[in-house]
Amino acid sequence: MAKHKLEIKGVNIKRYVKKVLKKEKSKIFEKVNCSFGTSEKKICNLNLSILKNANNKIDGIIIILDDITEKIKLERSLEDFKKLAHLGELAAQVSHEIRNPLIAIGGYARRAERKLLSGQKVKVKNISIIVNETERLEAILDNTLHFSHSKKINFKKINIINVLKECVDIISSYAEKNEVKIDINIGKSLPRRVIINGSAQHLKQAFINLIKNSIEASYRGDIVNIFLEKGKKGKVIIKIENKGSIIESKDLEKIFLPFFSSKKTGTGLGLTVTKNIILDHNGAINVKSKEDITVFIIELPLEAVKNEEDFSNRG
Amino acid sequence: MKKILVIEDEDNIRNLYRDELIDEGYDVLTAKDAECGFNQYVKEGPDLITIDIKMEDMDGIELMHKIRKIDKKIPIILYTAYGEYSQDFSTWAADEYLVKSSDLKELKEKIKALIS
Ligand SMILES: Nc1ncnc2c1ncn2[C@@H]1O[C@H](COP(=O)(O)OP(=O)(O)OP(=O)(O)O)[C@@H](O)[C@H]1O
Ligand SMILES: [Mg+2]
Repeated sequence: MAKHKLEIKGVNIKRYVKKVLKKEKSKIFEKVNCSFGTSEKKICNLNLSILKNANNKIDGIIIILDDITEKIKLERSLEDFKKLAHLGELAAQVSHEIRNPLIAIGGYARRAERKLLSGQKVKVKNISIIVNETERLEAILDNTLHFSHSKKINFKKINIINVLKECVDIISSYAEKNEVKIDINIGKSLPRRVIINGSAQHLKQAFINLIKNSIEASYRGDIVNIFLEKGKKGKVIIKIENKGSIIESKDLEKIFLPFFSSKKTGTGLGLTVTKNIILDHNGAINVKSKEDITVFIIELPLEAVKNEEDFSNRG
Repeated sequence: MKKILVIEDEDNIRNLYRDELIDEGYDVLTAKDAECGFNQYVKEGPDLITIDIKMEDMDGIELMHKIRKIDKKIPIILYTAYGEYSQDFSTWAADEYLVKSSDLKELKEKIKALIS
């Protein structure tokens, strides 16, 4: 092909042309930032089509720039709007949940103040209510913070086996206190390293919430089983399973909603946070509760290609 | 001594109301849900009832109507953690409507006005 001077102001078009020529294949480059030499930022799809002559030699390239700036702006504002609506709903619920403990705290504090001012005694039991309700508020706030953090996930390549092992370490003393054992079962066909793209910190939080629930549902002497298994192509499955009190079928769809809890001191945010984190990792979470066994099933995408090969080689 | 029935599903708020109203010189009965509350009402015949609108098993407005069917006169105070029902005509059958607060002054005054 003859040499031509190819230039579009504010777009590194040569780079894209080189790529296409190298592979001899037409290609669309999506969402490319283009300035066209002005201060206004544009986003375009670059469509590079190769023209070949009868001898299958490259004759030229057709370049189409499709300005999608407005479309993207619209998409983004719609997303923001949805997020805001969701946040508004959540805020209303949170303030509801916060008001009850606050009334108990304030009410008992006022009562204590009045008693002390008039030289009367204050019952320790009443002060304990203030302390307990304060702890409940703190737990609610800790968990709601995760909603706002979840968007800033720092994705890295991590070995999910290590993540699970660390979870078990962290929660082992809680398990001991409840006299429950935790076992990790790693599928024989799995490689030593099962790599996914994600945030270890967030996933640990997600799994610990699940393991903690399992411990709380178990009877003394029971075992909580964690299974790591091969999933469908390109996926890995983690199951967290316990015996003990099951989830009634009418509650199955409610347990992931914020503030649904059957526990005296539960915030009901554990599973909500867990689900958000799994969804942020493009995964899925499901639950089955039958006879006396409850199992939460999490599916996560594996880090691309290389590890899939790993998988099938060993499998 | 006047008897008050407090129907409220939040443990510590129920305890707070009980402790505070006992200090005011009332005989206080409590119930943790609507069903319990209705049974207590039938059995004990209180002089006044306070009902939380938002409870798990039945909402407080429904319970109030159930009681009103039997007894047109008993003073009933409805309250919520939010002001959202103040414009709702279904609460009009109550003698008083309150927004819950950690300061029980208003509740105590309203009770006093209704049953002394
Ligand atoms: N493994 C399980 N077995 C039985 N029931 C469960 C299990 N996991 C969750 N649940 C039910 O789902 C409810 C919601 O769980 P979630 O973790 O969201 O909140 P919580 O555990 O009640 O509160 P927190 O997480 O703040 O301690 C629990 O109260 C419980 O009734
Ligand atoms: Mg939990």
